[in-house]
Parts: sequence; structure tokens; C-alpha cells
Amino acid sequence: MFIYILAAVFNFVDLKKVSAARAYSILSLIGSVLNLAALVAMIIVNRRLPLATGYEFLLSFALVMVVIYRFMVIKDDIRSAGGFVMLIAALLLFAAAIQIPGNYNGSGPLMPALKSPWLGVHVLTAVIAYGGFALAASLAIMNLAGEMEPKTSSSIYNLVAGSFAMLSLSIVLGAVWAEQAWGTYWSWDPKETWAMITWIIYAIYLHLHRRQGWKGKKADILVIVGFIIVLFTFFGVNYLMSGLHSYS
Amino acid sequence: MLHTGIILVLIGGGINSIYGQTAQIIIKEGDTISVSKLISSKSAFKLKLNKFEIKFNPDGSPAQYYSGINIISEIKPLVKASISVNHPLKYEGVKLYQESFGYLVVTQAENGGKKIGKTIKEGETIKPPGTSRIVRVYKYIPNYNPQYGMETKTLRPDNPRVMFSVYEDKNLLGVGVARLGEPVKIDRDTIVKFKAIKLYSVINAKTDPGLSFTCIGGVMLVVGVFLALFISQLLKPTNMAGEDGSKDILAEDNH
Repeated sequence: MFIYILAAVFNFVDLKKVSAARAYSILSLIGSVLNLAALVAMIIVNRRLPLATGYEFLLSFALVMVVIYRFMVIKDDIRSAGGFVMLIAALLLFAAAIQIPGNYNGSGPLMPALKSPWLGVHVLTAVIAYGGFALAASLAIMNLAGEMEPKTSSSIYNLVAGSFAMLSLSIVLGAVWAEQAWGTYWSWDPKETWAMITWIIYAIYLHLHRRQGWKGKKADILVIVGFIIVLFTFFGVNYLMSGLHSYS
Repeated sequence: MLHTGIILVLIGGGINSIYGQTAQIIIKEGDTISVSKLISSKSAFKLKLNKFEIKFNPDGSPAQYYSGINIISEIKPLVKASISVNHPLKYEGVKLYQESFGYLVVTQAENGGKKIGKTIKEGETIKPPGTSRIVRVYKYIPNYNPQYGMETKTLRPDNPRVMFSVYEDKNLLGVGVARLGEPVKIDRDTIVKFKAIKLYSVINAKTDPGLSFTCIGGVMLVVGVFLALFISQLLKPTNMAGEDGSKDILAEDNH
């Protein structure tokens, strides 16, 4: 099982270069398949969805981002962000790989607090939201770098809108679960607080998007800032702060 | 709708912070505590802890914590229930949550013919007869393994030990690790035994009068988000990229 995972990690290390288009396609496809295989292996071994630990979250996150990207490539023919998408995926999986030693026992039984039907939906919506935000940020970076394709701006908006809806759902479901597990739906836990900050930033983006002066550069920057906050909500809170969410 | 939802959530939260109550019930097996003395409920009731149990996984980690309780009410029939993490109990407007648990060490000290017994929490002390020395039960280690030092290897008590310290006139004389029932010589004629471990459960009792507001608010929030962002998109078949298009769509959102 670990070989699966290691392979997924290393094969996802891909190229930022669009000129090697064919190599990109093949490698990224192999990477995605291995990523998926690793997740499936975890499902079979643990007999639950891979959403309980930080490690599992990262693998799911990377795959969702790449899958959404594939959809967009097919639907809207947006190819420019491919390099960044793969780079982010590679970094995420690298972060996951660093955790492997600590995870030999990690893929085990869930602790009592995690034994709830809410775990699945709360984390799944978060994974989808994060995947979307990561992709939107990738597109925004390419936009700023000057490689604009006609539908990019609307794609970014759609991505952020969809991810925002997922994030809203994730936060609310988290609150529902918290009420059931701890008796409080909101405890200003670092993760909750930073998730709310993330939510507010993207809400600002969505509100400002219709205003004339905010299209283009400023909007892109906001999308990227939003994703940086997402990363902080995930990594920063987990590793720099302690609280109810530290294990995820 | 989205924004109304947010306001409702804030109202609910506000009501809760002013009128909501919370009380921590620390109770050992066999004891009965009057909950209504700690927190206001629709009718008076007491809680008796029959048994606190930890179910373990094969690897020794905890699978679930169960508090088997009786709810004793003067006006309603007896309720037997089990509270566990993620499975709280609602009774007469009060919600009871399994929060945590702790250990009690049943300790006995004797000197010559004199014996005293005390059930103490981790960190507490016992003064044995016939000596000026004091023994502190420092920590209970369910699965003692020297490799792990003072930390237990698993929560399941595969190799239980009691870690204790001995003091004389506030000076630390030494630290030791004893098995359950093992006699420990504290002083010339004084023997201390840590006979058994008892568990106590920590149950959190809460009332939340603003909860219905918050729930409705939460639902409205989520529905509102989906409505604002997507339904309008379905109604207007033109693409979102157009500046006029997006202006109209968001303006249509009547909360």
C-alpha cells in the first residue's frame, strides 16, 4: 500500500512547461491515475472514505483539483494553467509525503470524536471547495502572468462561486457536527476562525466582481490571496496552533 | 435570503451567549448528582452514573467512551441511557455530552496497625499515618513501557502502573512507579499501596435557547448561497462573462 502512495507522490511531480505538451499530458494522466489508486487503496484498507487525516485530505484535495481542471480543459479548452495546477498538486503531495513516517499508525481506527456521519460530508465539501479555490488561483496567476484566454475570467468566477458554495456548506456542516459532538456549533477554534476569514475574503470577491474597477488584476489578486488564506487555514492552523482541529 | 440567514445565526448566537448555560458534571461510578442544581431544566432531575466504560480497538486505542446513566426525575419515569461521544442525550431541555474522563486511585497507607484509605485524583496527596512524609499520586499510566517514559503506550490498561512521588517537608525525596496492589515502602514502617483504579466521567450539560434561530439561520445561509450564485445562472441562459450580465444577476438576489 505504501508503494502505491509513494509512487503517486513521485509521479505527480510534474513539469511546469507547456511546451512539452505531450509529455505533460501523459505524465499528468499517470499521476492522476496513481493518485486515484492510492485513494482507492486507502478506502479498501480502512473501509471508509479517505477524509479523516491531514494526509488523506491532501491526497483527496490534489485529485479533486486535477479532476476539475480536466473538466475545464475539455469544456472550455483552458490549458494555460496546467503547469501551475501540477505544481500545486506536486507540492500538496510532497507535504503529504513528509507526513508518511508519522502515518504508519495513522491509517487506523478513528478516534471517538471522529466517529460521526458528519465527518464525510463536512470534509468532502471542504476538499471540493479547496480544490476549486486552488484551481481558481492557478488560473488567476496565469492571468496575471499575461497568458489570458478568452474565457478565463468567467471561469475563475464560476470556480470561485462553486467553491464558495461548497465552503459555505462545509462550514455549516462543521457547525452542525460540532453541536453534536461538543455542544457548541462555534467555538472560535483557530480553524473555524480562519475558515470564516477565508469565507469572507471570497465573499468580498464575489460581491466586488460586478464592479467595473475590480475586473482583471485586482480580482485575480483577491482570488490568489483567498487561496493563500485557504493554505493557512489548512497548514498553518494544523501545524502552528493547537486546538480542536489539530489532528486534521 | 443569505443575508437574513446570517443575521438569524448571529441572533441565535447572541441569545445563546446571554441565556445559554453550561455546566460540567464530574461524576464517578455509583454517584448521583442533581443536574437541576447546576443548570436550569424544564423539570428537576438527577443523574446517576452506573458505569463508565471505554471500548478499545485491537491496537489499544479508544474506540468509544460510554457513560451508562440513569436519569431520575420526580415526575417522570426512570430513563436509562448511554451517552457517548457524538451521541449526546437530550432531556427536559438539557443536552448531555460525553466530554472526557479521568482516573481515581484507590490508595491505602498503613503504619504498624494503623490503616487509612483514600481515593484520590491524579495530582492529589495522601498523608500516611506515623510519618511526616507525604505521597502524591502523580499519574496513572495504563500501559507502562519504559520506552515511552511517563507517557502511556496505549489507553488500554495492558500494563498499569501508578507513578508517585514522596515528599518530606516540601522536599522531593523520590519518584517511583508501582504496580497495582504492590506494597511501597515510604518510610521505615510505612507502607502505601495503590490498590485499584476507578474511572470518573466528565459530562457536559448545556442549554441553548437560541438554537432554533441558529439552525434556521444556517439553513437559510446555505440555501441563500446556492440561490444567489446558481439559480439565477440557470434562469439567465446568457454567459456570465458579460459585464451587464453579471451585474443584473447579482442585483436580482432579493435576500
